[in-house]
Amino acid sequence: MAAALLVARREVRLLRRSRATLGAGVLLAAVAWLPAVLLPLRRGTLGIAPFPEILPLQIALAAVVLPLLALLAGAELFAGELEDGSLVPALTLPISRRACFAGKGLGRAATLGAVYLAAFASAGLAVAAVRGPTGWQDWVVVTGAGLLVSLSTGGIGAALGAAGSGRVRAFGAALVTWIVLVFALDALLLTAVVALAPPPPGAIGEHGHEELAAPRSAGGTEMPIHDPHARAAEPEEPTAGALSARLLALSPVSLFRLTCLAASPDLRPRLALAMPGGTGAGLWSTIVAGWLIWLAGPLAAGLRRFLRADLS
Amino acid sequence: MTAGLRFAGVGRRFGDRVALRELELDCPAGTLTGLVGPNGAGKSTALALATGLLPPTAGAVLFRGKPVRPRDAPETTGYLPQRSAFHPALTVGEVVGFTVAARGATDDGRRRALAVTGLGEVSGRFVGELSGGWVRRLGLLSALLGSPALLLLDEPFVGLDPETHDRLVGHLEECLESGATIVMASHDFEVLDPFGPTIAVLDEGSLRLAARVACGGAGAGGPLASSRAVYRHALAADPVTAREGAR
Repeated sequence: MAAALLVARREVRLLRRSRATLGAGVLLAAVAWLPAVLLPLRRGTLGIAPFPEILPLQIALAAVVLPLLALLAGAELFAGELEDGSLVPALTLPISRRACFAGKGLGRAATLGAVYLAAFASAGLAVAAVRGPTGWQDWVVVTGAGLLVSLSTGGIGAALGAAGSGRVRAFGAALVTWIVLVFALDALLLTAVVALAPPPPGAIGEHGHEELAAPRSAGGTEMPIHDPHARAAEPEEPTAGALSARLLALSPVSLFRLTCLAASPDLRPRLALAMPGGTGAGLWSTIVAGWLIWLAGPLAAGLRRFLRADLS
Repeated sequence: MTAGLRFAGVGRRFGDRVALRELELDCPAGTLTGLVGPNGAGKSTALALATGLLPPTAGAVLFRGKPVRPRDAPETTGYLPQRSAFHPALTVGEVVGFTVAARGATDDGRRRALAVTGLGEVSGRFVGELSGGWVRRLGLLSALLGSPALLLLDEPFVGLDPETHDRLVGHLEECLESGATIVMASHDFEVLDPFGPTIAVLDEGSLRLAARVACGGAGAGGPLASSRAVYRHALAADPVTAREGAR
């Protein structure tokens, strides 16, 4: 533990002196501030938009930019020092590779996490001060989910750079991973969710499926008309909505969106439309399990690669 | 002799290329073993294998009778690689502080290592601003701090001025007196002879000859009176003859 903290302090010191940290701070500030500042311009006014207006754009922007930043920062965590050989002196001291991995990861996560929180907290406070606090909880959820997707994709980046194959390969792999996660896989999963969603009202006809599947009130008791003999005690089949939630948990970027939508009282109705039956208590189990896997999995893979890397 | 470092049938491949094959070599405690040989002979690979940073593909490296843990350097090892590299954004003082904290070195040990390497005068400078010689000294300090029981030094005298050279020789002699095991790769035979070393001649990954140089160094008479004589003898003979001659 002491060795890991020693390495973490070294990492913090290095990041404080790095221009890349400054660049990351500027980009994060842009992600945090731009939606609030740009939206009023659509109306031809200068100012700051309120939280409920900001959130959809904020989520869309964060889902693209945060994984890119985190993947690159993660890939550089080991790739740079392994290529330069500057990690070898540390590893010939009584510092195990596990402690080195933990320390560097902790130091980088703490430093960039602080920069991230500073950027988003400053924007959030400005919006709350100018336009009032309405919707601030959703902002906090988006900020928290953004931190989770950054940590998760940063872990993937670290795993990509931990084998010691050099900066160019690590950054190339990080960019390909970003394209896959943010565009290809995300689009694939959203397509699957749309395919699983019920048809929009009116699409079937005046007396179509919507009407038939809707609960009908009969003597104060709501019973689905298509299955009058259904019993409450019977185990329920996973709904299309629950399946959609599990599908979205297959990508950290989609999971980020799902977390933001599920936690927001304003946005949750839209989610319920797309995922009927999937917004109950089971949704949060899926979200929590998804994050645990997406946080621990890349770190375990990265540690395994780092332990096997030839460092001499 | 007390058990020190032992290479037991150690081999290492990099893809199809054999860097070291079946190395059998004993380096007892309190002695210095010089690894010599042409470029690409496997000297640096042998040292890296002894640190544990590079795992062998055959055989085992033992220190004090115990296998060197693969991938993690033993706590008792000081290693100077061929190319010392420290992060350019750290100051010399910060690198020294990091090394002292990691090794749990005493203030006295810190002062001695600083005195040997002469790094005190540049402690505020960034590594990126230092000349190659100063970086080399920093590597030496990192290896020597905390009086490790096993010192693995790859060309430690390259780039050192005469004063630092002499201080380092004195320090290594003290280390040997205190029972440390030193394995040094070098092309400079003159720096090896004063230690009365065992010279292990490597060529194309194979051990050609391992022989103790007589105390007194060159000129003491006989074919094994100096490191250079051992080297010439080993490379002139075929591997089998050289091994038999060493026995």
